[in-house]
Order: sequence, then C-alpha cells, then structure tokens
Amino acid sequence: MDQTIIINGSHRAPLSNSRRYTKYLMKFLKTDSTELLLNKNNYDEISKELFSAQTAILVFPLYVDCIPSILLGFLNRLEKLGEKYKSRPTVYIIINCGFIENEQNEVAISIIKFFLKKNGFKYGGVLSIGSGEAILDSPFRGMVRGKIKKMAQAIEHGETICIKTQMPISKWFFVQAGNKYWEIKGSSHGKTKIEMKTMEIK
Amino acid sequence: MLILTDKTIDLKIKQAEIININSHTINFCTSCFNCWIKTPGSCVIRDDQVHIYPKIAIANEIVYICKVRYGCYDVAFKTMLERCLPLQQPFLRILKNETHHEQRGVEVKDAIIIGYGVENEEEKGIFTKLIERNSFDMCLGSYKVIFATETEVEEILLKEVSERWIKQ
Ligand SMILES: Cc1cc2nc3c(=O)[nH]c(=O)nc-3n(C[C@H](O)[C@H](O)[C@H](O)COP(=O)(O)O)c2cc1C
Repeated sequence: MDQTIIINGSHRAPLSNSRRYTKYLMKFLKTDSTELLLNKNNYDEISKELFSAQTAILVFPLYVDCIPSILLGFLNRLEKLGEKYKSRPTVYIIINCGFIENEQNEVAISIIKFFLKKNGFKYGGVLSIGSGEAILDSPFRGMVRGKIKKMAQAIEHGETICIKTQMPISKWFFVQAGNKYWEIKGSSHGKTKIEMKTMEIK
Repeated sequence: MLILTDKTIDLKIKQAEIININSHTINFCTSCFNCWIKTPGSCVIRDDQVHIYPKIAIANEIVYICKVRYGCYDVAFKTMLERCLPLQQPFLRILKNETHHEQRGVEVKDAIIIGYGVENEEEKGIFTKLIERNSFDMCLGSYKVIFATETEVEEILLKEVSERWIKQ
C-alpha cells in the first residue's frame, strides 16, 4: 500500500505552526497519511517509517536562516541508516518563516535539496511560506489553505511543484502589526514594551 | 576576540578567548520565545549557553569554526546559534528592504568563518549564502568565509586572525 508520512521538524512540534499546516495538508490529501513529530529520541523510529514510505513531506520552520537543528540531526541519522535501506520515498517540503518574505527560506530549501541529491532521494517540491507565524490567524489564512490544497493535489498525482505564499501586505504594515502582536504577548506576561526592548543580555 | 569552535583547537592566542562548544552542555532551543516576552534578554534554559551568548553579544571580532553539513552548520554549532535568540528583540525593522529583528546591546562584528568538511562547490555556495543571510540578524558588519580541511583549520585560523586583526 502507498504510504505517505508527514514529518514535523519544529522544536515545538506538538504546538507548532508546522502542525497547523500539517492538519490542513492531511485534510486535503485523499489518501491516508501519518503525522510524525521529531524529537531527539525518535530518529531511528521515524527513519524506519521514512524508508518504507512512498512519499514523505518535511514540514518545518526556518531557524537562523536555515533548518532547525533537530531536523539536521535527523538528516545526519538518515544518511547513516540509508546504507541499510534500498528504497527511498519522494520528499516534499513545507517550510514557514517568521519574517514576511518567503524568499528568506531559500537557503534552507537548498540545504534539504543538497541532502536529498546526495542520498539518492527524489525531490518532489516545496511550498514556501512567509509570515508563517502570523498568516494562520490573519484574514489571509485562506491563501495558505489554497496553496496547501494545491500541494496535496501534486503529492497525490506524484507531480513536482514549487509554490510560495505570504501575507499580501506591505513590509511597513507587517512591521507595525508584528510589533503590536509582540507587545500584546509581552503584556500578557506583565512586561511593558520598554522592558521588552531592554539592551541587557544575561 | 572570541573564537567559537566545534573542534579542539590546540593553540593559544593571547588576544582571544576560545570556546569549544563541545565541552559545554547546550540544549536545543524549545522555541518558547520567553527570552522576548517573559524574561527579555535572558534564556529560561539555564545551561552553559547562558555564559556564551552574552560573550557573543559584546564581541567585535568573532571567529566561527564549524563542520559543514549539506551547506549548513552541523548540529552542535547550529544548536548554539539557535540559542542566541535573547540577543534580538521581538520587534521588527526593515533592513536592506527585508524584515528583520531589532537587536539588543549587540556589537557590530567583523567575522571570520572557517567551514570544514565541505564536499563540493555546490555545498560551499550554500554555506556562503547562509552566512550572507545570517549577517543581517547576527550583526556581522563584515566577514570572510574560508573553507578548509579539518587538519588545515589551525594553520588557517592563525594566519587569518593575525593578518586581519593582530598585525593592525
Ligand atoms: C531559534 C529560532 C530562530 C528563528 N529564526 C528565524 C529566521 O532566521 N527567519 C525567520 O523568518 N524566522 C525565524 N524564526 C521564526 C520561526 O520561523 C517562526 O516562528 C515559525 O512560524 C515557527 O514555526 P513552528 O511553529 O512550526 O516552529 C526563528 C524562530 C526560532 C525559535
């Protein structure tokens, strides 16, 4: 049976935006899929699932302009274990970053593609999301849902795909809205804007 | 001068502090954002990293020595960098027409980045692009990326820091 697995590479996987994107994807995929949340103790278990799947989707955030270390550790492990397995799934990517520009995801996408090529996996394509922390709770969530639906269709037909999305607002407006968002978050912990802007690092 | 390395460096450089991140316990960032909203400027995971990131903040001259995997810093080095989130404010700004974070008390740096273990030109290209991207939120005002084999690292380190910083 064709097996599709979705691997969440966020450091806060259970509570992540990546998980919210995964939920949409699972809804739009007509075939069954399994969601797996990476942690540093389950690399081997998830590797086994990956090598027996036909399709794998890596869903993860951008950290420091590249891939989260938990996901990198997993790729290192896959490379090691790969010698034991013959078959390789086709791998798709859904990446999201905090900043508005989805272009900021490009290096992370190159890193995954480099890994896939080196280890003989077929690359299926990518959905690159900018403003990934904000878009799901904004009036623009329909845009990202639409892109995930497209992604699901491509996955089902085994087609390659490269699509992008982000909030259709100006950078200036994104900065204002983002600053307000963080100010409210801080105040829910009793922190004023001035306290949040402290120069002190300790 | 601060040298952050993921391999043992058997050198003494009078002007430099050398931190081998592998001799420290640095846990994964949990992406809790408490360093922005609950304890601004301070990480709630009080492991060895809390002694490292304040040193990164005040360094004007910094060296990264790290193994490169698929064009990325390898896991230990990347983990340390992810735990530097307290250096940034949550608040945003536009820098060279891109959205980025406001910094806290972070010095602008001149940096030397020595990557070892790369496999080919494509991987060098990815890593170089990564450093270019990182320069925005890591306050790297200027930097030089050098690729080396693991055995060449010390020789290159000595040559580069003395040419760039010590001889001035
Ligand atoms: C340690 C760390 C580093 C981050 N670095 C970046 C970055 O370089 N660029 C960016 O746009 N967002 C960055 N972010 C923001 C995340 O990509 C963003 O919050 C994303 O929505 C998180 O997705 P998740 O909930 O699936 O983990 C960073 C977040 C953390 C915790």
